[in-house]
Amino acid sequence: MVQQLSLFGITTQSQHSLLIASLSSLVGQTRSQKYENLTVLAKPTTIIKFEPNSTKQQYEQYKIQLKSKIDENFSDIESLREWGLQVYDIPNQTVQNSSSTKKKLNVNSQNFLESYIILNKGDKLDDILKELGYERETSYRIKGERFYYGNITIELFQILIYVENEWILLDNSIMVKTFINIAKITDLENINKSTQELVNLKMELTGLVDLSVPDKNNLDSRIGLNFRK
Amino acid sequence: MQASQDNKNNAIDFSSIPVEALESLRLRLTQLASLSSTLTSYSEILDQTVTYPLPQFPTTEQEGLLTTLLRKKALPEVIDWIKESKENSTDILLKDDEDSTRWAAELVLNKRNEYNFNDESDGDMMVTDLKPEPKLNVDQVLKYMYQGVLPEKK
Amino acid sequence: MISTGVLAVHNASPNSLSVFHDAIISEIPKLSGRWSFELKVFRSNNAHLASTQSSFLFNINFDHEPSKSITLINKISITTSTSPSKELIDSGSLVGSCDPLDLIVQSKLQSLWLVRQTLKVDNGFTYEINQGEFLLRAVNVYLNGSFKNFLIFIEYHGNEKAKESGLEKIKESIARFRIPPGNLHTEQLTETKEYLSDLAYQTVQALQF
Repeated sequence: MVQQLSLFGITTQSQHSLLIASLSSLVGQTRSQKYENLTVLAKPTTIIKFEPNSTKQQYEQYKIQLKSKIDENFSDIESLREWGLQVYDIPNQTVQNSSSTKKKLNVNSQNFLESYIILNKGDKLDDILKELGYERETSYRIKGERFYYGNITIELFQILIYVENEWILLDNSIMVKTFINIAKITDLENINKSTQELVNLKMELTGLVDLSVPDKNNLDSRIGLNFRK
Repeated sequence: MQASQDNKNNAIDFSSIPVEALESLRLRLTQLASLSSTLTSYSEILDQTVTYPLPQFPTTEQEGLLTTLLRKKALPEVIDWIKESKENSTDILLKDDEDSTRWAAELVLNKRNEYNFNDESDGDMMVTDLKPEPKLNVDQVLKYMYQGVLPEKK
Repeated sequence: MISTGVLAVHNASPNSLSVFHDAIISEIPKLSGRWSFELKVFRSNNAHLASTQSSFLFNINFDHEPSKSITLINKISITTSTSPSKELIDSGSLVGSCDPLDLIVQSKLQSLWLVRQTLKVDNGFTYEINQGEFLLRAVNVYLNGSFKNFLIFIEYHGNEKAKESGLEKIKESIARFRIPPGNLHTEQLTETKEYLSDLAYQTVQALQF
């Protein structure tokens, strides 16, 4: 289980070079680290209707994310043999402080589980998903670059989707994600320190990019929510 | 007229300069400078000193003088002078003028890009040549990433 | 390429392991410590799955490959590892603190799979014979405290000269090392050998779920 503290922002392409130049000098890293991956979003084949009055035990259903390293020449999903599988919880809204006081978080805090999957020769990702009871829902590419600032990872990325035989930008924006992963979710001291670090970065970048806590419902990978309404 | 003619002859006529008044001003300024430096060197003591009238002081008759002497705040007109001079001397804050700041920053970047500072060229990975305004906000992009749902087109 | 087979000994008793142990000692094997594995059996949280779907999901973690675990559904095997490649982390595909897949199945896929039993099979022995040409592992399997099975794992690590020769070697070894009779499971999941996946599959076959 990983706990990720994060803040998100969005910027325009015209601001890209300014942001990169500012970040480079802020973090003292002349060149950003480029990265690229393919994300496959999968949902359960059978979605179980939530029955409010049922006496049977009911379980939450989650969408899962599978991600793999790709490069410019990517074309065939079957060529990807190593995957990261992640299941995200709904973000926490509050954090338990030292005593029993609860306070609203200044950063987004989300727990998730991940597994590193190696496909056997001949096995297809879709077959594996099918056996697990899942199916591919959508996939997208992420192209980004990364800076490190103290314990913070700063990522600037764009999303590409496959439309009519080509990969196109989902949007003309550039997403900014700043985050710190906490290995032990009980490490309150680290959580408080990291929260402060992110808040300080937010101040530092004021005027350049507006970092904020997103609506937690959008980071919720549970399904069946629609049935509940 | 005469002065300008004299100027032409490279001779300067001092006769119209109010020498006495200037000399008096110079003297006053010197005294002020001396007073100012004295006050500065004793500022610590003066800051800590508490002044009060002695019993012999004719408090009732000289009330006006007493309040003037013991006054700690500057006079309203003095406050105005200070304010005015501060306003005149303060530098223009850059953040009050974001547009020109941004213009300057972009100009610097563009100029910088015209020169090659690195030996190896490192192509920009991101697509930045297109400049239409983004249509999605942070929450809409995240919703797509985590739930595969795009906002409905209007 | 390692060839593997798992033998479920016929008419075994808890004592069969020590009888086998005394017999195999005559081969002067190198004893390399205690061996164990853990098997988790999941049952499909039925009615929700398509009829073509398996009703079992198995997850095995072998002591001699502690960072890897194998998840089996039908004839599909998923290998998970707790030590991811740096490449994958750098690409943003993983954060790097990886759990075995069964943990995710158990906590996030409950609508589809529910744990039915967890088998901790331990106190097994590993025998390395003929400078590692053969590797035998012998272990007693207990289910809810009562004896269920005596399993012998046979691995051939030598060179294969012809097709099927690894399998032949394993069959030969049964007579050669006076291994007690039983059902030998040598099925491979796919045409290409996948050591850990095949071993996991053969183990599940031998335990007859």
